[in-house]
Amino acid sequence: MGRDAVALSAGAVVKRALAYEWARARSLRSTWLLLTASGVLQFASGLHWGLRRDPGAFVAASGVAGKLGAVLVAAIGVASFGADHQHGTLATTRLVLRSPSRIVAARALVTAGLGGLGGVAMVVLTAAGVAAGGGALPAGEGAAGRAAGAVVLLTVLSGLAGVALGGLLRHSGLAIGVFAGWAFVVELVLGVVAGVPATVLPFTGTALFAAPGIGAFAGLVAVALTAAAVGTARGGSLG
Amino acid sequence: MIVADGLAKSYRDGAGVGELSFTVRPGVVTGFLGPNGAGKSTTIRLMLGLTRGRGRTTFGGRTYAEVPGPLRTVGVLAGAAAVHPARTAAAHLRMVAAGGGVPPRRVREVLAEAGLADVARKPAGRLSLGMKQRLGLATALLGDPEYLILDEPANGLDPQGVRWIRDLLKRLAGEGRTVFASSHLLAETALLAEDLIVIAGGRLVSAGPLDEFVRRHARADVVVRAESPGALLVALARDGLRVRQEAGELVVDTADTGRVVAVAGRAGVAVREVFVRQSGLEDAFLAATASATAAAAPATAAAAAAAAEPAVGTPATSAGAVYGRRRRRLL
Repeated sequence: MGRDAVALSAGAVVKRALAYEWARARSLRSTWLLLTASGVLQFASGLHWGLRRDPGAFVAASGVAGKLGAVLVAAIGVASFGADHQHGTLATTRLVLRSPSRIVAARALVTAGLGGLGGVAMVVLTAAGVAAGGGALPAGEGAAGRAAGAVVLLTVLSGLAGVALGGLLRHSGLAIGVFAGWAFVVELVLGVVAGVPATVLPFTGTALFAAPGIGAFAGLVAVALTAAAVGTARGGSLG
Repeated sequence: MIVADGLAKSYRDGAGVGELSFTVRPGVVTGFLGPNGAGKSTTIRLMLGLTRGRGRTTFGGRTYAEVPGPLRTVGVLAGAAAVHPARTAAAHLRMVAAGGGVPPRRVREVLAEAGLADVARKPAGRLSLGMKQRLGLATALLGDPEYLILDEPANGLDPQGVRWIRDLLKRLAGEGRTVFASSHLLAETALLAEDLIVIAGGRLVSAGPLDEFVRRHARADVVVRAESPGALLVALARDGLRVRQEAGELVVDTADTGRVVAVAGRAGVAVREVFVRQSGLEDAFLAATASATAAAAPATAAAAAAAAEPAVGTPATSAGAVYGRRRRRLL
C-alpha cells in the first residue's frame, strides 16, 4: 500500500496540482484545436494584410483577428471548469487537488501558460502571414512591439477570464457567450453609445496595449478568479 | 479503520442524512446498503468532504482533507460516468496519477488489473458502462490505497465483471485494506460483505456483521411435510400458530420445530420432514428498512417544517430523537 507518511511540502503540492492541470489540458484535443485555430486565424489575417502591401500590415493584422484568437484562448480557460461541471469530473479534481484555491490557481497558471504560448505563436504567425503575403515587417519596436505585446497580454488575460467565467457560470456555452458578448458587444456599446474611452475598456484597452485597459482587465480577472475559488469552495468542505 | 462520527446533511425538502455514526474495520468488505434515496451517495460525499455538512470521518485518524497524500491513502469510486468523454482511459489515469504523485507505471498496472489494457487508448465516451465502471475502479486503485470508498462498484458490470469485482474486493480486504462499498444489489452484497451498514430515510438502521443483521431482521419459519397436511394445518391453527400451505408443505410462522412436532404428535399426523427456513439478506433488509422508513417519515416532515421555520429547533434535533427511538426498536 502506497501511503504518503508525512505531509507534503507546499512546493510538492503545487507541483502536483500543476502536473494534474497540465495533464488535464493537454489530454484534450479541444485545447490544441483552439490554439491551432487562433494561430491559423492570425496567419490568415497576416497574409491578407501582407497581400495588400500595407505598411502597417502587422499592426492591422493583429487587430480583430487577435481579438478573435483571444476569445478562442478564453474558450480553453472556460473548458477547464465547464467540462468538469458538464461531465461530472469536478469531484475527481476535488478529490485529487482538494483545495479550491489550489484548483483555481493551478487552472489559472496552466491556462495563462497556454494563453502566453498561444499569444506568442499568434504574433509569430502574424509576421509569417505578412511576410508570406509579400508585406513588409516593421523594423523598429514601436507600434509593432505594442501590437505584439497586446496580443500576448490579451490571450493570457482572456484565458484567465475564461477560467473564472467557467468556474462561476459552470456552463461552457454560457461562459463563452458572456465573454464574447462582453468583448464584442458590451464594450462596443460602452464605447460608441456611452462614450467610454476605448483605452479604459478591459478587452479593447488591452488590445490597444493601453495601461488603463490592461489594469481594468487584470483587476476584473483577479476578482473573478477569487469569486470562482469561493464558489468552488462552497460545494464542499475539502481543503 | 474508518470512523464516521455524526454525519448529517439536511436539504430544503427534508431529505438528507441525520447523525450517522459508524466504523468500518480493515480486513473485511463492508457493504453499505440502503433503498434508493436513502442517502448513500450523500453519506459518501460527506465522508470525503465533497459536500458541506456536519460530522467528521477519519481514515486512520485523519480526515480526507488532512491525509498527506489522498490518492495514495483513500481510493474513491464516486461515479462511473465521471470521465471526460473525449479523454482516453489511459490519459484519464495519467492525469489523476500526475495530481496524486503516483508513478506512471501504476497506470499500466491498473489498466491491466481492471481489464482495460486493450481499450486504454479509446476515448472514455466510447466505452461501455461496464468499461467506464472498470475505469472508475482503476482510478480508485491507482494510488494503491489503504482505504477504498466505492459507490455502487458493481453497477453496470456484466456477470463476469461482477465476479471480477467480488474477487478483487475480497482480495483487497484480505490484504488488510479497509473496503467500504455501497450497493443496492442485495444478493451481491450477501456474497461479498462480512460487515454491513444499513441506512434508510437518511438514518442508520444497522451497523455490524452481516450474519448478525440477517439473524436479527430475517424471518424464521418452520417448514413441515406431513402425511395429512390438511389435518395438521387445522391442528396448528387451533394451537394458535399462523400457518399457510405452500405446494404440499406447511409453513408455520415460528422457529420452534419442537412445538410443531408436538402438535403433529397430539393430532396423530405423521411428520415426514421438518426444518427451519431462515430468510436471507433480502428479507432482512426489507424488514429493517421498511420499519425505519416508516419511522423516518414523520421526522422528514418535522425537518421540513423546521427548515421552513428556522427559529424553532433544528432538523438535527428532530433527527436525533427519531434515531434514538428507532435504535431501541430495531437494534
